[in-house]
Amino acid sequence: MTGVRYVEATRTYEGTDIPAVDTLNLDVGDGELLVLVGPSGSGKSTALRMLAGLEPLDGGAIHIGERDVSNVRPRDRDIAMVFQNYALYPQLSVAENMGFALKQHGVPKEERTTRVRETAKILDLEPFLDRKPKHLSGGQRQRVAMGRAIVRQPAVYLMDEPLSNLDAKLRVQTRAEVVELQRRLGVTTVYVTHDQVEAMTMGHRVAVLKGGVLQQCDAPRTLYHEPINLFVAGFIGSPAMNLVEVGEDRPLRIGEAELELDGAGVAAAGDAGGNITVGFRPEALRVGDGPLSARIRTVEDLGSEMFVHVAVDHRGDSVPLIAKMAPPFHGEPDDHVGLQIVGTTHVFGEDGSRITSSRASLRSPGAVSRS
Amino acid sequence: MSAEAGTATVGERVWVNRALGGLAWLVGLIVFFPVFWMVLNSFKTEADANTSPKLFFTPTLDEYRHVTESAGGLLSFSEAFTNSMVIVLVSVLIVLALAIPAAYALAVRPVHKWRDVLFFFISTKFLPVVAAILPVWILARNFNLLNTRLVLIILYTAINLPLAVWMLRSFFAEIPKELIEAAEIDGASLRGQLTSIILPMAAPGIAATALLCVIFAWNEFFYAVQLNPVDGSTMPIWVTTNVSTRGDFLAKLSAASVLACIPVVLAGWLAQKRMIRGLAMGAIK
Repeated sequence: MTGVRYVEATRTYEGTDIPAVDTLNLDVGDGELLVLVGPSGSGKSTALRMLAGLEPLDGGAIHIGERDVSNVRPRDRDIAMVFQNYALYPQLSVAENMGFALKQHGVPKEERTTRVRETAKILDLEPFLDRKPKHLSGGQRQRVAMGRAIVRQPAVYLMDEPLSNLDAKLRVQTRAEVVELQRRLGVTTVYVTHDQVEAMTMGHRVAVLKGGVLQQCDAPRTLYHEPINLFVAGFIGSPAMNLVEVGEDRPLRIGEAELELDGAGVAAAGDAGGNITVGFRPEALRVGDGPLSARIRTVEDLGSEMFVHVAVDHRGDSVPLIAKMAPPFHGEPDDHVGLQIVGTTHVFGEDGSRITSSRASLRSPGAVSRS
Repeated sequence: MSAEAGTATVGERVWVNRALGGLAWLVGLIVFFPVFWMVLNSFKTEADANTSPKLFFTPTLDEYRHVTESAGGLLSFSEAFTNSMVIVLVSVLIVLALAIPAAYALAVRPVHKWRDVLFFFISTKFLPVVAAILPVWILARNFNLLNTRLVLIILYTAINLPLAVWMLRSFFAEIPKELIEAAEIDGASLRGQLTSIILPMAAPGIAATALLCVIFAWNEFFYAVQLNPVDGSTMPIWVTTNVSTRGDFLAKLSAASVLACIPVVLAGWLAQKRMIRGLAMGAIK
C-alpha cells in the first residue's frame, strides 16, 4: 500500500559544506515501524524532517507510496507527525487539538466529533477532551499528540523522539503501547530516537546513522549479532560491546592471552592485514578462571544480572572491559580474576568494517591449541 | 556562635529590605505627586487653585464644564477629541495590519538578511524629529495635507511602525517553531496558521504593542502642532489652547490635562493584565 523510499536524499544546511544527511537510500515497507537511531548530529531528525517536508532536499528524492513528494508541501503529503515536545496548540482543548487537522481538511463537524471520540477512546483520553493541554500531565499530553496523529488516518506516521520527555517508567510503558498501537493500525511509521534501547525494542528494522551517513539498516537481532562496523557494534547494545584494539600482531592477543577463533574466522582474520580491533559482548565474557588476568574495578548488581567491570593490562595500558554475569557472583573490587571469552567475537579491520565473526576463546601463551 | 551570627544576618537583611521598600515608596510618591496635585487642582475653583497650596477644599466640576463647553481658542474639546480618536485608532489599525505580516516574515520565516531589515526599521528612529520637520512640512504642504487628519494618520503610522515590527517580531519569535510546523503538517494554510495558531498565541503581545502605539500616538505633540495648528488638531494641542495669558488658569488647565490623560490611562488600565503578560512573554515561556 504505502511505503516510504529515500533515494539518494541529501540535505546540506546553509553555511556548511558537510551534509546533515548524505545520499540516504532507505526503503520503509508498508506497515513497517522503522526506527532511525544515532547520536546527536547523526542526521536522524533531519532525515525525518525531510520526509515531513519541513526541510528541503538538496539532492535526491523522497517517495511516499508511488508518489515523488520531494517538492510537495507538508500538508499535501498525507503524513502526521508527533513532535518531541508534543507541539500541542495551547489555546485549543484536547478535542480541538485532535480535530484540528480534520477541520483544516474540511471534514464535516459531525464526522470530526465521531472520529475524535473514537480515537480518544483508544487512548483513554475521553475524560480530558474539554481540557487545555496545560492542565494535562506529561503522559497525557504525549497521548494527545499521538491521538492528533492517529485521528487523521494518514499514510505515514512520523515520530520525532516522542517519548524522550517522559520519565523512565512511563517511557517503558508507553513504548509498548506505541508498538501495540502501530501494529493494530498497520500504518507505516518512521520513528526517530537517540536511545538505542528504544530503537531495539520498537523497530521492525533499525537504521543506524552517523554523521549523516546510513551505517546499517537491519532487524534489531541482526544489528546486535552482526554489526557491519565498529560504530554500530559500539552503539548498539547496553552495556556496550567490549572493543579491544589488538594491533598488527598475529596471532591476535589480548593482554598475554592468545585469541583463538573457530572455523572460517581463523582464515579471515589471518588474511586481514593492518590494525585489527576485536569486539565481544559483555555476555560473552566470563569472569572467574581464565587465561587473561584482570582486576575487578566495580560490581553492579541489578538483581537479575550483574555487570562486572574489570581492567586488564593490554599493550602497556589498562583497558576496561565489562562482563555480564548471572547471579550469584562473588567478587569484590580489586580482586584478581581470570577472564575467558565464551561467545562470539567480532573482528574489525583497520577501516572499521567487520571482517568476520566466530566463536572464540582465550588461551595462555604456549598452551596447546584445542584444535 | 555561628547560629547567632546567622540570625543577625537574617535580621539585618529584613531591616535592609524594609528600608529599600520604604525608599521605593517614597520615590514613587514623589514621582506621582505632581499628577496627584494636577487631579486635585482640576476639582478646585480657580481661586482655590491659585492660592497657597490647599489640601482641603470643596470639590467642584465647574472647570470641567468650563473647558468642555467653551471653545477656549479655535479648537473645541469635542473636535479635538474626535480628531484624536480617529487619527489614533486608524493609524494603530494600519500599523498592526502592516506590522503583523512584517513580523511574521522576520520571525517565523526569516527572509534573507532579516537582521539588516530589522536594523533598517529601527534606524529610522535615529533621526531627531526636529531635523525631519521641515521636509515633512514641505511635503505635506505640496500634497495639500496641512491641517488634515490624514497627515497625522500617515505620520503616526510611520512613527509607530518600526516599534511595532520590533515588538511583534520578538513576540512571534517566542512561539515554538514546532507549533507552526505541526499546523503546517496538519494542513493549515498560511492564513490558517496565522489566524488559528500565531495570532491567538501572540494576542497578549499584540495587545501590548497596540497599546503602546495608542499611547505614543495619543500623546504626540510636536508634529501635530507644526502641521495641524488650525484644523485636524489633537488633544495635546487642545490642552495648550487652555493656557491663558489673561489671569488665573491653573484649575482649568488641570481639568483639560486630566481629560487628555483619561483615555490612555483607561486603555492602559483595561489592558494592564494582557500588557504585562505581553511584555513579560519572553520571561514566562
